[in-house]
Amino acid sequence: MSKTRIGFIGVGGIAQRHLGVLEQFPDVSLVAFADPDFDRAVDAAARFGARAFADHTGMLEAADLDAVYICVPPFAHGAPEQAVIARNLPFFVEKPLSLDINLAEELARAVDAAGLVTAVGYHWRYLDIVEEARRRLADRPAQLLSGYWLDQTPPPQWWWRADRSGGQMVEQATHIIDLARYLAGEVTQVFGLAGHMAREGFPGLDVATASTASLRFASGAIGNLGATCLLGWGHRVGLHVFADGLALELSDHDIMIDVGAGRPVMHAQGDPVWAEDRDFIDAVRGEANRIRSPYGEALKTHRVALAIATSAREGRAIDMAEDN
Amino acid sequence: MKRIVLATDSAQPSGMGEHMLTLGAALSGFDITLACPEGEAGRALLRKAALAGLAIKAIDLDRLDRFGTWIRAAAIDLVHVHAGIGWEGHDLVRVAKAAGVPVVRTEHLPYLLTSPVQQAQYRAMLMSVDRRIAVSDAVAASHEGTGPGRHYVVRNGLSPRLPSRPAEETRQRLGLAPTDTVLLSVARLTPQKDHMALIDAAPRVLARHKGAKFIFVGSGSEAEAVGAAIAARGLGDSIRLLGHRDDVPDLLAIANLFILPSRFEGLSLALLEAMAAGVPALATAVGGNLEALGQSHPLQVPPGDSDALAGAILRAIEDKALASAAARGAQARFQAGFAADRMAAETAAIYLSLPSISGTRP
Repeated sequence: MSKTRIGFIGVGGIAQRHLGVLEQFPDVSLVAFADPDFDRAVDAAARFGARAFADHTGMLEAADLDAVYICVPPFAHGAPEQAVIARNLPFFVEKPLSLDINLAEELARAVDAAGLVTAVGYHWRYLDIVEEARRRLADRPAQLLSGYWLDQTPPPQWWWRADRSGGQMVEQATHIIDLARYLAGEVTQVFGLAGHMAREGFPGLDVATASTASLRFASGAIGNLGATCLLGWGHRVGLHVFADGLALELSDHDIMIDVGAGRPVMHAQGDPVWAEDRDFIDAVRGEANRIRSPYGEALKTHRVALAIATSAREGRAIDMAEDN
Repeated sequence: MKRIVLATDSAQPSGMGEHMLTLGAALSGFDITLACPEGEAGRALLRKAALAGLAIKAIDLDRLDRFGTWIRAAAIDLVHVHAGIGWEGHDLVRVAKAAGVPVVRTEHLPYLLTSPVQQAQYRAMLMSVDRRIAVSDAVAASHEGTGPGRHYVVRNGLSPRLPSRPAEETRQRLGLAPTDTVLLSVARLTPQKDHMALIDAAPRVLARHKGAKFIFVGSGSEAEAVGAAIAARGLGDSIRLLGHRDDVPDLLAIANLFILPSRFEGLSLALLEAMAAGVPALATAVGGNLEALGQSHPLQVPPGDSDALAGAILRAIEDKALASAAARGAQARFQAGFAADRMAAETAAIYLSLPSISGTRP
């Protein structure tokens, strides 16, 4: 059995999540790691018997790869994708796609032109409970959606800066935006509001500490999102969906389905990251392409997230058609 | 491309680690991974190997079964174990063999095992070795009769490194006057290297040449004893202990003489590096030193003889024609017989003598 040779650009926390999955795949070989923190690349390489590089350019030149995982912070997108596309390599990239919508649009065009297999880390689409929600909503379409990302402030300092992370709507609640699109279709209009509270212990943090967004969908459904990073713990991350005689409460580990006969809860089975990595590797190997969030699809979610941030900044509703 | 692992279980793979790096970088036509335990020295070696473009693998000595699992999963074609002292590397050999790949073993030091139990363990380990390599004729000869199979001799080689800065700057950094005579020794501080003999020789040299500065590069188990011996003799101003250094080419560039007082030796890379740099080299006439320098090299002394050592140092300092002729001869000898490419080509030929590597057997 030939092995699919994978290189990683960026070897931080989310990369470790994928490595824990990919190392279980007998048809994958982890052969190269690049990170500006060279010791981090060395750690990963020494774990898997691979090569380590201080930058992605050196890795792409030296290593013989079949596909690349791009797991860089939001501000670092652009050059890695361009270099990978230039070599016609399929890639998996972690969300958010960029901080600048023009860059993401340009990368999407380049991916299309090259006809590359791509996948983006919107792993909620791979939850079995999300599948269940889609089945329930098929004949009773969503009318009202209410999403949450009520959490602590992540420790990396880049996350605290709007010009590094894009803020909570772009960096975290993007998962909920993607889920809302997956369940209720395209978003046509957004209106965002953002509040900020300075706190001791978070010097220089300039992202919104509380934000909301109202959404209108092409189907006629409406929704809202609420996000805060003011807690010292994870409080609630999820999406509630309401339809004619149906209430769903989805988190990333369970779903409550209320049709007026109690509040039964169903727990998620399986690892969605395992499933998304498996789909990506299968597509790279020339088997069926079942990828649920290729680059172009993820871009649609990313447009909504960035439009919410722009709306909050400019204090006006944004019609999604006006930007496209 | 066949995938080869160069592996050691040594916690302090200093010269041997450099050898593995040189071999890994010079072997062409193979996909090379360097593997070692991830202690402080091992970590530094893995980092260097990564910078040299090699794949790297940390070995957990408490969980060698995982190393075996990885050998299978990564479809490794051959494991080449490097051993310093004779009791090293046995478990790596066994794990690799159990994982179903051919095993090559290189001995870097003469056979020194005296305990019957260790000798028996060594013989048993050899049952899992497909090809035995010795880094010098002396090492091969000392292993004669220790087990089945013959040794292939592949003499150590190296790719000479160039100095990274002007010599004056190196002297300044070390607080050395332009007129100071620099006597450089690069060797682990272990009983094998016998720094004590050199410390005993120093007063006789300093009596005639006050400006002579001995510089010891290296770390090791004897560091404390060596430091104490220097202090006890009041030689702190004349003998400097620099510890481990990555700028040996720069130190060679300011050295008037390189000294290797070892009691026994496989084939010292530090000596080869001095020869390549054209620095006059004085060494004990033992094993691999003789092989490196040749019988006719004028600056050789018996091991453990500090009087002879002092005499030879004085001869090298005072007879400049002799010293530079010795340096030229040694440099020519290095170029003819100790380049890394030659070592890599001979090693590759040994790999290819195995049917599973040459492809003559599926």
